[in-house]
Amino acid sequence: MALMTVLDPTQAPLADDPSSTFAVASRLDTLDGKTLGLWNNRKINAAPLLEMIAQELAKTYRVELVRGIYDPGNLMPTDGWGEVDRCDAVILANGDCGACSTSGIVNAIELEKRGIPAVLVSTPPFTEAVQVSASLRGMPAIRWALIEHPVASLDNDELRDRAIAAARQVPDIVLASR
Amino acid sequence: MRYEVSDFAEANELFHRNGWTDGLPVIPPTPERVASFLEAAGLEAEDRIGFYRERRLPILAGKLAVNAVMAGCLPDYFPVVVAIVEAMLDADFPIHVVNSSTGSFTLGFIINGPVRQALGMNCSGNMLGPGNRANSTIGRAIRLIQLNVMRSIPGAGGAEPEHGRPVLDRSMMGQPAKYAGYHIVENEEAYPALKPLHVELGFEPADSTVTLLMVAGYHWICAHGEQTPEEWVDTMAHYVVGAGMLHEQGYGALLLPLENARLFAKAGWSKADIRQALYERTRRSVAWVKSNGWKVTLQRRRFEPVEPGDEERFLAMAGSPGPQDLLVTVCGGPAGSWPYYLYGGGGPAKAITRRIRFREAASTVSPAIVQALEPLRAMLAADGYALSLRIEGGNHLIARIDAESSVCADCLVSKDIMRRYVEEALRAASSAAPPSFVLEYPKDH
Repeated sequence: MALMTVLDPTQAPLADDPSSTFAVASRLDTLDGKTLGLWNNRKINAAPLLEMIAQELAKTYRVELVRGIYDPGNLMPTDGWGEVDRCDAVILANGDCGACSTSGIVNAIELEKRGIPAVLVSTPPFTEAVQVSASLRGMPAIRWALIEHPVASLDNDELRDRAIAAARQVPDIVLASR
Repeated sequence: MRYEVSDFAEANELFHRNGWTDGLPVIPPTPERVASFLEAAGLEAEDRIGFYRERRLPILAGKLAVNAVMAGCLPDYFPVVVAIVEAMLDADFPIHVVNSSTGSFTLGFIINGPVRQALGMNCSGNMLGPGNRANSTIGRAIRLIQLNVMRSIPGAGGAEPEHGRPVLDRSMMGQPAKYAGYHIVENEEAYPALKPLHVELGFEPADSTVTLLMVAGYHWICAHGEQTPEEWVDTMAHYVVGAGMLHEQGYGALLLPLENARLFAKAGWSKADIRQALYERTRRSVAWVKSNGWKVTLQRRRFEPVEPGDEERFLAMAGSPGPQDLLVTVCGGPAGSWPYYLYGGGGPAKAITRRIRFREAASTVSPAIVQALEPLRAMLAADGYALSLRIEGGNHLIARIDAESSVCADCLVSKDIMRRYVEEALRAASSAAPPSFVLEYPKDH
């Protein structure tokens, strides 16, 4: 016999409403001749990792590089992205911690909504948090590049291996199915 | 969503099973209890308090009330909980970092103004816990709101918690202060010359406020041997600089014990003087930082070579010596010199202050109370003192006594005796228990 009614303490996300989900940006035909953004959140090794990824991609594609900085912990203000609208695609790094992985994916989603394919580089301990955050922000279909953890404490040789792994995934994520 | 359970114990099993608690028992949030909390704050369940952008979650008053009930709050505490949540959702507050970092960040909140007495909050011994109901449960309500409303689910061991809620609080260690935060209540009365924090920040003494901080950790210091302000600042500076391993150009909070506050008040130092001295004593050149192992979380600065110009560029532990960056709060028990330095996360983090808004309905003093205190008012007026009455926090009476310019402000009877007069007058006027009240004396303002 029920004697007591209790209320659910949790808040349903807006993403539970399917009408509030968003599609990813249109994918590119090629990266060749395109402008590629390297957006660094100032985490340790983020900047060199992005440069190494660009060097790997340059072996296959002629790309012009644009560099920028974004907040490692929070959603960026819409007007805080600098020259990002010049870019055909953007790589964001690093997503190797709790705040920078989940805020990284919501910032990538903002770029996708702006029409720019965006690739967050993240690591496996945060996969679930990144996927849940993407769903909460209304873009469950967004993809990101996954490399092994850790990143911050690596030397340059180890970092190069991570960059090669990330660079392999970038075309798959930003190009129309090949 | 509602659930039917047979009793308190079954309600708790349900909440544990669903991952809705901090691991401790909760008060079952029945619709009646939740309604009484909303009533106390003059809010409706669907009222939107704010929006958590990174997780796209609307933050509604009803859900906050459910969690405040669970934490063990009383209805009158709820406006304080709401004010803290408003501060958490301020665009300048890095709530997403606190809620999701692999670090062990938690929240600190400094309470100022009449709400302290109105809710019986503890600014004295064991202020940070344990013991006082308002201090503890307001802090716990905030944690449960992070956990349930903001979805900062901490996990409970193992890769896949049994409850199946995704783990979004990725803190690798956690810390005990994640249960109820650092609940700091300023003792504004002990040394009025050291202006209360909210007054320094531009609020009125009669405003009740909460100032929210992101807290990484603390240094807790033995300062029994320091006999001058300069010695005290010098000792503290060493610890503050040590916190620079994590923190730079953000903010920090000093919890200043009464014995230490006395030292400053005796020497005629204001809080601004304390802040300025500590700021100057903790600034370091970039060259010093690079060669002495001072690094900050996201940079490798101390491993970089010293460059020309580094001697002339400076870093500080706080963004400025201003009251919003070095928050000085007088608090703690009657004896002992054990100050705290709480440090935040550095970078763009900001301390956010919000006025606590109480239910508007009962903002005027009832005629029965005015009548009951009329003889006291007339007696004081004959001696050149003005008694004024107002309501704060929905039902908390503030009785303020001002001295006319020609009258000695210190010549009133002691506050304890005056408090008894007021109590007796109120009791004589009504068979009901007298309302809680706060007495303000000329030297208080």
